[in-house]
Amino acid sequence: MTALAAASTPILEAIDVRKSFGKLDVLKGISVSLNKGDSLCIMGPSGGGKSTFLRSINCLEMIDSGVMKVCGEEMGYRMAAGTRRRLGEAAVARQRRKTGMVFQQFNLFLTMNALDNVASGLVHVYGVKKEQAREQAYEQLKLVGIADKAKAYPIQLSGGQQQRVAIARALAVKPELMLFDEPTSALDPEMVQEVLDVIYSLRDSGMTMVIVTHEVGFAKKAADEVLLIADGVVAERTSPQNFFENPQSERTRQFLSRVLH
Amino acid sequence: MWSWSSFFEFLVSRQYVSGAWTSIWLTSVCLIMGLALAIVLALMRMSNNRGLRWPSAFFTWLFRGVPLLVTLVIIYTGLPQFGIRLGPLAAGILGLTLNEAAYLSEIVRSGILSVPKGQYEAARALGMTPARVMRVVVFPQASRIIVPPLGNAVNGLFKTTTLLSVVAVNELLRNAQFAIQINYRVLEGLVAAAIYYLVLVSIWQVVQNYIENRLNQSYVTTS
Ligand SMILES: Nc1ncnc2c1ncn2[C@@H]1O[C@H](COP(=O)(O)OP(=O)(O)OP(=O)(O)O)[C@@H](O)[C@H]1O
Ligand SMILES: [Mg+2]
Repeated sequence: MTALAAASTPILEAIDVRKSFGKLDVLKGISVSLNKGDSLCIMGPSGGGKSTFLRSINCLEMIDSGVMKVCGEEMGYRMAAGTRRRLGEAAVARQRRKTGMVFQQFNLFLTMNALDNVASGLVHVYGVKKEQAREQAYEQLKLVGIADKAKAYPIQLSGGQQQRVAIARALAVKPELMLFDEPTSALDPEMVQEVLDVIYSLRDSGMTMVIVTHEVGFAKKAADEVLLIADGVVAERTSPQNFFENPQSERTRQFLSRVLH
Repeated sequence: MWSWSSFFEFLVSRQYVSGAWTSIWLTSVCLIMGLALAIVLALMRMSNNRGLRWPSAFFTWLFRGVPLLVTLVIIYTGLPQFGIRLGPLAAGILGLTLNEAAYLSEIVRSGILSVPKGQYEAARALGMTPARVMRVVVFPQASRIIVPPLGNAVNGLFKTTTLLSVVAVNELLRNAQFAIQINYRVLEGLVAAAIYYLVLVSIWQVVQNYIENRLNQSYVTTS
């Protein structure tokens, strides 16, 4: 592949992705692509399949059919001698290095302090020496403005602080694509802003991001485009301005009428 | 009449000291092997594969159901009928380890199940392999749940080593019985043995408290 072709490969490419849990069809053919440096906000009614889609990007959920590509590489499968083979968990783990994920409930490792949480990917995924990893982790903590809490354990931190550490943990291993699943939904209102500020500066630094959120103001400011997922399909994809002021889809109008007051 | 002098003779006798030492290392060996086996059994029990789950459940059911004394006698006197002849020590260690593994596997399993799903997901999302996820994230958290009942199991195991006297292992109780047969000071001899058990169990309790406090460190809210 030439450098030019590589540059134009989308970071994320989902083609007709489908997923059911038993009889429940959650994703009914979702196609999305996202270029380097773009940020996409996913909105939609509860239970519409937003989290399921996000989690199938890094194979936390295995899709039933369709193709999910990150940086041009199909997640969960490999081509061998012309046939498509399902990858084992260890090989999928290697593919996941391209993505970083931030969860609604932070999910910091409870037995590690903030610094070791951030260093954990470097140490346990990339095999970096502990001391060196901690130095890099400390720099990362500085970037999210929380270096003074390096020695604190998750339980000693506020929700906003925990989420900033979680973002630093995901960033420390230099992912190509960041995935956020309602990063501020579990936070007390006064802590939301500190987390949003980190995400805004991340967007300004050119990170490619997919963000599931219910916060209209956040989506307006953080997104290059907004995507509405409802009933397992993409109802609309457009700029934030069109999405909130001039939605084309009936689904979007229904959704906005419920969230905008 | 109670004889203080023979009581103290028992306490400091070679037989008691070496018997106690045997009981201690038997406990350690059976604990380590039993725990290793228990972790394997617990992981098998939680696997999606029925071919792994079922043998593990059967093993646990079997060894929790059959009294250890019966297991020991079967291993020591029954297996030779099938040409498998084990010495007293090997038979004792085998029986005790299998029995302990069955109990510990349930303790290990409940510890692993106590780790929230989000912890696994965060580790997997970072790109850790399944083995790493277990070693780095799951076991350290599970151990906090596992250690208190495990400590009690060690206490029980140490006292259960007395059962090995029936298959001719020279642990503390059997050595005490030999010593008693020399001067027939039964009460003094047994009280002296009881004191050994009490003291050693108490020392273990101190160690256990220390370990539990260490593991709780990251869960204390004041830094
Ligand atoms: N592991 C699972 N097993 C069974 N059903 C599931 C599973 N995960 C999700 N679902 C179901 O799939 C549907 C879509 O869930 P999903 O979490 O993707 O929705 P969502 O759009 O993220 O909703 P919310 O805004 O509430 O987070 C829901 O009906 C949910 O109950
Ligand atoms: Mg969700």
